[in-house]
Amino acid sequence: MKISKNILTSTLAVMVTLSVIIGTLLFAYQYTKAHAVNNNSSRKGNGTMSQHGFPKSDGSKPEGGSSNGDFKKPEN
Amino acid sequence: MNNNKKFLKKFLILAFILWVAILIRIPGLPFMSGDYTAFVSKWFDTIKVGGGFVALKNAMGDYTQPYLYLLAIGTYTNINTLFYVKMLSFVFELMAAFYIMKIVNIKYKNEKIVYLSFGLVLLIPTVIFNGSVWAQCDIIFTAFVIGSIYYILCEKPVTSIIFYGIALSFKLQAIFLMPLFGILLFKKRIKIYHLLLIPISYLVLNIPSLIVGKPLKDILLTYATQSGEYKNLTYNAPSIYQWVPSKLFSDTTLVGYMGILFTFAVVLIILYVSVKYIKVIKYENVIELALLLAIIVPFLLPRMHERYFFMADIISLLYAFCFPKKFYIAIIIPLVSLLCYLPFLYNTGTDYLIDLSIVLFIVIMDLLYSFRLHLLNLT
Repeated sequence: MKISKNILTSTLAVMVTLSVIIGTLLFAYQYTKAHAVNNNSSRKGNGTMSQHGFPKSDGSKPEGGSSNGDFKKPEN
Repeated sequence: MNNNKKFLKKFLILAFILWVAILIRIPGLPFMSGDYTAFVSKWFDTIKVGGGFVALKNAMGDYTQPYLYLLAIGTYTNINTLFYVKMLSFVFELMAAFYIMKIVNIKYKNEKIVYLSFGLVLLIPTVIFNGSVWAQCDIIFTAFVIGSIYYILCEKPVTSIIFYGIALSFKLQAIFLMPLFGILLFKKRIKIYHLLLIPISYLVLNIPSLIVGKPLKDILLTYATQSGEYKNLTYNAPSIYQWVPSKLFSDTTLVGYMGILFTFAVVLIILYVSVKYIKVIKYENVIELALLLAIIVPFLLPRMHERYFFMADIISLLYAFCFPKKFYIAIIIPLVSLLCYLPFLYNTGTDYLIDLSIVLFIVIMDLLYSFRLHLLNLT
C-alpha cells in the first residue's frame, strides 16, 4: 500500500513538472511568434583589419546568393 | 532513500534546471539575426517548397548535409521556423550539458557538483546567445565533441571516434581537437584503424543526401568550398590577427598561409611535448589538452569567426571543474567570446576586440604555464 502511494505521488509530481515545462515551451512558442523582431545584424568591420572582400559593413543584412536557394552563409 | 525517491529527486532537480534554462532563453527567442533571415530561414523555406528531404539534392548554402536534415525534419510540420531552429540548438545544449555532467561525475561522484555542472553549461552566456539569440548551431558539433571526450575517458574509443566523426560531419571546427586524437594514438589509447571511423561516420551521415541525388563531389568538397570563401584574417575573432595592421599586410593570403604554418608548428610542439612527458594519459590530461587545443588553434589560425571559440567556452567549464583553482578560466574565456558576439548581433564597435585578443593571449599563457607544471608534476 505504501509502495503504491509512493509511486502515485511520484507519478503526480512527474506529470505536474512535465506540464509546467510543456506550458513554458508553449508560452515560449507563442512569444517567439508574436514578438519576432528582424535585427539588422551584420559584420561591421574588425577594428584595424582590412575588410576587403567582405560585402557588408554598412549595417545592412548579409544577402544570400541566388534564387535557387544556394545561399552561401558567411558564418560557418 | 529508496529508488523511487532517488529518481524523483533527480528528476525534479534536472527538470527545475531545464525550466530555468528555458525561461532565461525566452527573451532572446524572437530575435532574428542577419544570419537567420538571410540564410537559415531561406534554406528552410527552400527545403519546404522543394518537398522536404528531396530538396536536399539541390545546391543549398555551404553547410553540411546533417544540419540540413535537421532543418528538413522541421519542414514536415507547420512549426514557426525561428522557434524550430532555436529549439534545435537547445536540444543539443541539453546533450552537451548531459555529457558535461557525466564527465564531471567521473571525477567527483558528488550529486550536487554534477547538477551544478549541468546547470552551469546551460547558463554559459555564449551558449544562450549562440543558439537562442543568434540561431546558430555551433552547439551541435560541440555536443558531439564533448560526448567524444566522455567516451575517451570511459575507455570506449570506438564510440568516442564515432562521436568525433559525427561532430566533424556537422562542422569543420571540430578539427581543432584532432591533435588530441593524435596524442591518444601515440599513447596507445586508440588504435590507428579506429581513425577510419571518422571518414566512415562522415560518409554514412551523407548517405541520405546521396540517395536523394546530391552529387558525391559536392558532399566531399563541402569543407574545401567553405575554406575558400573567406579572405579576411579574422572575422571579429579575438585572435592574434587583431594585432596585424592591415596597412602593413595588404596580402592577407600570404599572412594567412604563414599563420596556418605557425599554427601547425605550435600544434606539433604540443603533440611532441605531450607524447614525451605524459607517461599515462589521465582524466586531467585529456581535459587540459582539449582546452588548450580548442583555444590555441582558433587563436592562431587565420580567417576565424568570433564563434569559433564556442567549443573552448564549454570545455573551459570542464577545465574549471578539473582544476578548481583555475575557475577564473571558465569566466574569462566565455566572457571574451560573448563580447566578440556584440559587433555582429548588436552592431557595436569593434575597437575593443584587440584588447580582448590580448586578454585571451594572457589566458593562453596562463594555461600553457599550468600545462608545463602539470607535465613536470610540480602541482
